Amino acid sequence: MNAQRAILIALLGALLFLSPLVIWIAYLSPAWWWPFAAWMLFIVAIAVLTRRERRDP
Amino acid sequence: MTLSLGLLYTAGVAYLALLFGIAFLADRVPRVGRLSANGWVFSLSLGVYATSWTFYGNLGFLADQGYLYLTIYLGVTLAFAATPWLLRPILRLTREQQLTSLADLFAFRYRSRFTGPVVALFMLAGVLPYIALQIKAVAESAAVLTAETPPHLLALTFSATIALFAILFGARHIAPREKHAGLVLAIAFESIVKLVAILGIAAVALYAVFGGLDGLNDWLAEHPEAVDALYAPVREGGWFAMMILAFAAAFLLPRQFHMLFTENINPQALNTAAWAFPAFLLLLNLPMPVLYWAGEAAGLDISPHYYAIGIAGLLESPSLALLVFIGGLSAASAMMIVTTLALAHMGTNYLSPLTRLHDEERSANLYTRLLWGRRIWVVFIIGLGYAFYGLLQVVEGLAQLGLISFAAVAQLLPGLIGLMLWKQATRVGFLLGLAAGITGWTFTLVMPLLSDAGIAVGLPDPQHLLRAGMLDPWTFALMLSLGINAFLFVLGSLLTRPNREEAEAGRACCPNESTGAGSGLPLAGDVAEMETALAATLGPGAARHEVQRALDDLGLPRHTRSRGDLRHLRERIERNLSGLLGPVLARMIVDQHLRLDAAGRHTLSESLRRIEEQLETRSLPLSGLAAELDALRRFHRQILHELPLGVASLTNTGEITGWNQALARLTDVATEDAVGQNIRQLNSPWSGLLTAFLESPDRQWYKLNVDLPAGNRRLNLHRSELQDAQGHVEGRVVLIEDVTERAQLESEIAHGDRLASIGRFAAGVAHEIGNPLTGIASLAQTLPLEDDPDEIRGIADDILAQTRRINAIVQSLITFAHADEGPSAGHFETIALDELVGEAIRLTRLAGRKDLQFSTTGLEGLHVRGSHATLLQVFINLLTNAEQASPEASTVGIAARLHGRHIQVTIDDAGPGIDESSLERLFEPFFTTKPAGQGTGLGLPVAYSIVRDHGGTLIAANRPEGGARFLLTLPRQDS
Repeated sequence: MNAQRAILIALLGALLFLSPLVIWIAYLSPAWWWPFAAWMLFIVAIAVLTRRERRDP
Repeated sequence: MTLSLGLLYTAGVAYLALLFGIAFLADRVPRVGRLSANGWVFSLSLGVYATSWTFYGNLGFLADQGYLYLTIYLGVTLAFAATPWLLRPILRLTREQQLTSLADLFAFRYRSRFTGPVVALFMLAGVLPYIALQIKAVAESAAVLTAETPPHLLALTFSATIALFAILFGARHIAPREKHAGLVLAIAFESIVKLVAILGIAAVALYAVFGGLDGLNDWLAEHPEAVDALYAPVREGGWFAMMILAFAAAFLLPRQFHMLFTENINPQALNTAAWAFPAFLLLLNLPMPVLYWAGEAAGLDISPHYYAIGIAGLLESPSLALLVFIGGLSAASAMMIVTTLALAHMGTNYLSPLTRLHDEERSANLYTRLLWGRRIWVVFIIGLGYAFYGLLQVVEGLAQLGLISFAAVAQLLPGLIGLMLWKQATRVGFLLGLAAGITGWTFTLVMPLLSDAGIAVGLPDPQHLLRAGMLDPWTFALMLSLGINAFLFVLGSLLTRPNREEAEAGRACCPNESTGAGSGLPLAGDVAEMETALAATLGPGAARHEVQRALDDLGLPRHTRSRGDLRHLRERIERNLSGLLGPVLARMIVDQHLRLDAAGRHTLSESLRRIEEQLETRSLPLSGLAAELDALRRFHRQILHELPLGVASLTNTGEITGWNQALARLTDVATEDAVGQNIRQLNSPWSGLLTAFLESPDRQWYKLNVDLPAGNRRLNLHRSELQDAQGHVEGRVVLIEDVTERAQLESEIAHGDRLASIGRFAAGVAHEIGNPLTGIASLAQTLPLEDDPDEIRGIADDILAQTRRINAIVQSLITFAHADEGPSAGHFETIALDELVGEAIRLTRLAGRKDLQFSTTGLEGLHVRGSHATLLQVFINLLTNAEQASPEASTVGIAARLHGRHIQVTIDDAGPGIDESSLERLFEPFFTTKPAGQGTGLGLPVAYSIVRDHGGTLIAANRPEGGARFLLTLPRQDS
């Protein structure tokens, strides 16, 4: 994974799981599966960027 | 519904036996073993992270802390998302340096005899609660299933069985690099079992309790507080502290480090694990809320930890209950086996008397001692875990025990960041910070735990003491322990300086740093000598095995004597021993027995070569200025490599450090074969030729005849010395120029020039021979008329004198005409300068003008070394040139004098001189100032070429008083 992709992933991870967004979502108290959906989104992002890197020359 | 204890034990042992069967198969059948290198299998093997805390404790944690339980897995996901700049560099380092445990990693970077033991001891202490948690979970789950009080006998038997299996899995034999394909495959299988068990029981609970997803949604609609109860703890704090704890635990827990780095067979598998392992954790955690709500909805009257078992009991399904039990056992056993092996490795290398190898019985087999050391440690660690379990039975939460262990390993984070990014970090800073972190961890987490357990009653509550009651306990503990740890680590590192070993390790750890040039060459002259030296500590068998393993790794022959090879071998032995004994002990053994040269320093050329090797083999790309400098280096090296001249660089000891393509073609010795060899090891004739040249006082040899398999070649050899900034000679460079074709061409040109000269000489020869012939004829006519014997004798003497004169002329011509061969060092002779110039004057006179005078000064007693015929041609060409430029009845002056190790000869004429534009081109072939048809333009170029081949110089200039001057310099030969 090149530096740009690594930074993109780090920023997405920080936004989803290490920012005040977490507390905000907790106050909103959405459907129970929301945290899992966010988690899955993040995993898919890692997988896509990792696989794209493999295809790059 | 209850199950019998015997059934549970039998099922448990049968399951562990199945695991062992899988591991055994993988170790014995290569095709099965290779599966462990697969990315999916590797990802599943990392599932050792999910212990009985996940399997049982998650539900209790969720009941208490809602969605805070997710931090334990989201922190891991973040760590794996950081694979490119976090996990991969650590993997690279551990593979390159053969570091097989956390203690190895930190002991390698923060070189001190305390680092490894402190880390090992702290990891042991920190992880004991976690091991106790596994025993507790298995015992309590069995208690729920058998409706008995926690069966201590089962806990003890379980611990003993796990100790046995841990030995079978990882301490059955010493693996060369701690890679156990069977263990990886077995742990991956355990992850599948855990996942199937959790998903299975959750699916059953969903349909049995709620009647499906719609039923669950209806229940949640009726109980909106159920969802809010999950989010509420997140709003109350603790999220970020737990995320940091889980982030650190993802790769710093001993079992995670072991599976991620030590057991990693295929580095590429980490790419798959970066997302596949978090996906596994997601699947494992998704059913947790469903299971919890099912337990709540069913009104189970047991601890939420064991709701999964409770649901199986509710359905009166022994098989489902057994599946859940096996799932929990699988989670606990995987953790205990891997953790115990990782800790046993650290214990053997850093906490047992084995570290004092030199005090031990030398004949003892190193491998046997290591193996038994590990086995004893496995039993000891599990015994300690069981004792801890016995002490802490009153502690309710499984998660609390687990988080205490997480907080312990998190104390290594500052040191790890320093290890990866800060090469100025020192062991003093690390140990200072870690000591503070351990104190903070004990104060904030262990003391309250012991107090809760009734072991140390009356200890003050740290949060109350420091008036930090508004913080959640994990944020408080982390802030205090990790904060002070990081501060002291930085402060200690800033106040001290890394020693040489630390600086070297710092460069090896930081991805963009060169690892430097090392510190010397081995004193041992060959492989056998190294083996004998190592045997003093390792024992003969282990020494032989380790040396052979290092030779095999490097692909080196056993008979190599190249000092470069031996240096590589020494480094490889150290790394391999590091994998077995840890970096500190490995360095100690190697330093003690495979000593480096007394000078303790590399020559410049060796250092450069080593740096080049490191740049070529580095796994991470360079960036910025370093990348540009590397590109420039490659460009310059390519120029040198592609140069049509043969170039060899050598150390002072004669080891070849550079050998370019042209030289490889000329010598038929490939670059990779030549580099690292001593020149004396080269094939004939190169060994003798280069050795003789390097030992000779000459810096150049010209047109040397060398017989090669491809035919005779003419070579020019040049030599120069490489000096460092202080002027020390660090090596030599030899240039080998193949001038065979050029020498042939020059020879042909010289031959043409000679033929032209002979043509010019023809008339003079006729005249010179005609005069004595006329004299002989006259004398012959008068001879019959003489009666006086004295007169007759006088006439005969005159005839003989004239004949000798003719003979001398003819001999000079023959000598000149036969001089086809160019000069070469092998055909040089000592020549008297006055005789050489005299002969040249005589021959020039043959064809030239008779009105000129030739005056000579200072020639007597001077000798030059060279080829007589070709130097004669030089003087003829220069004198002819002077003669043609001189006015009538003038004098050509030839003067010689000594000038250092050379003889300078000047040839002056009284002509009009040479115009400036012609001076620059005078020695170019076919350049002439004479009218067309009167000059070939070859005389001076041929003279110039011959003089250069003799190691001399030829310069043309105008004299201030008028006329031209040729200044000829030739090496002096002492008579």
